[in-house]
Amino acid sequence: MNLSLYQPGTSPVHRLHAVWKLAGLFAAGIAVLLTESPLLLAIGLASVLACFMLARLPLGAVLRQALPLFAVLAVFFAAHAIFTSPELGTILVLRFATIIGCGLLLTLTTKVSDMMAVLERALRPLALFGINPAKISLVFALTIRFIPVLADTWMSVRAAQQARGLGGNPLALLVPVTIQTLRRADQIAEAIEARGVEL
Amino acid sequence: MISLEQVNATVPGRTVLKDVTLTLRERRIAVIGANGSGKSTFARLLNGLVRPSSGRVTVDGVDTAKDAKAVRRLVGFLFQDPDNQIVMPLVEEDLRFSLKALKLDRPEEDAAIERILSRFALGHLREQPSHNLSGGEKQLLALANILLRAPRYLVLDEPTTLLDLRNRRRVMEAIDALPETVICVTHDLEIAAGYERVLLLEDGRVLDDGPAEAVIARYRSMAE
Repeated sequence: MNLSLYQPGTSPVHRLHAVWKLAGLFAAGIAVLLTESPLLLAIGLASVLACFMLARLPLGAVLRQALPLFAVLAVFFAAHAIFTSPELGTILVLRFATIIGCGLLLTLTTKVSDMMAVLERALRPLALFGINPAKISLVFALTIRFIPVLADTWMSVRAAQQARGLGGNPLALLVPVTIQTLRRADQIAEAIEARGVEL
Repeated sequence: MISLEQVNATVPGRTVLKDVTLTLRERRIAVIGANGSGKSTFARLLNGLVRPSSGRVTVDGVDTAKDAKAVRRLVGFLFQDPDNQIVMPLVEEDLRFSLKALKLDRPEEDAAIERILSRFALGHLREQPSHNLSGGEKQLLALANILLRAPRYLVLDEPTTLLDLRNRRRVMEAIDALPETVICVTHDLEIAAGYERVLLLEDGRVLDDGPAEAVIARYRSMAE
């Protein structure tokens, strides 16, 4: 399990500064909400697909992320086709596909640290209210980094409890996972401190 | 030189280290002892992660209780579980995170990262997710992170405990090759045997202090 979806590369999309990519995602989000023309939405989606080609991403990595989303969109379209109209279903699916495609392209071609830097800059005005933008962007990075670690903890505790015949007991799972997670949080804070990183 | 003068350290409810006075000058010092003897607290005192409840710890004359920031520049700390010290999702990003406090410009950061990756033969992992590295690679990455800040002293808290034999050898070879002063807390007596000076801790006190052979022999006799 890996939440950092970044795929290394040197394409123009990879090289584009994260701030432009995030701005593009924001603009695309607004644009798809402002139009109801299937033609314009289809052009938007085609543009996103062209950007994917330009990014020269490994097809497997893209499909691994996109296929589950396709399935959701297919269900979405079918529901609209049955209960409202196929036209509305088409518009909504084109909207979601475009915006999800933009988000996927962003995460596949942008390092977390680059997004952190943009986030930190964008949040700088909050410093006036005593909020530290560096801390917020670090929380964002730590979340991405440690969800797989916590998933490993969850699975190893579950295996241990199953071995004891307590696999179906939620408390037997939650208590040790919570304790281990809190202990790990302390150790991570200590390690960040030891690395001399000041926030 | 690191010195401890009549140091006591407490955690809520008990004193973990009692009246420890030492001067650490040797290039390789091992700290051994049973679980709960105070080894990890001792290690944490050396870079200011734990402050003495009484007494004084100084690193090259800098008091750990007064200027922890300066002390952390002098003393790098390697933890037992590398998963807790790697913060960023990609190897390169994690190394860059360590350099943040040094406020270098981008080309200088790139050069430092390049040098450290080639020093530990980790260049091929530069853009890999840190979560997917082997235990040994993670520990080497954690060590690389510390060395990026060019500390004079390295404190290692059981750096090989979670590693398999091959990764243990790989990490220890890297540590042995370091020119910096190393203070290694370990249960691995094979590692301690190769060090110039060994401290044996028991119930928060330094029970023995001297050449590896004699101190390890005493420790073994205590376990019998």
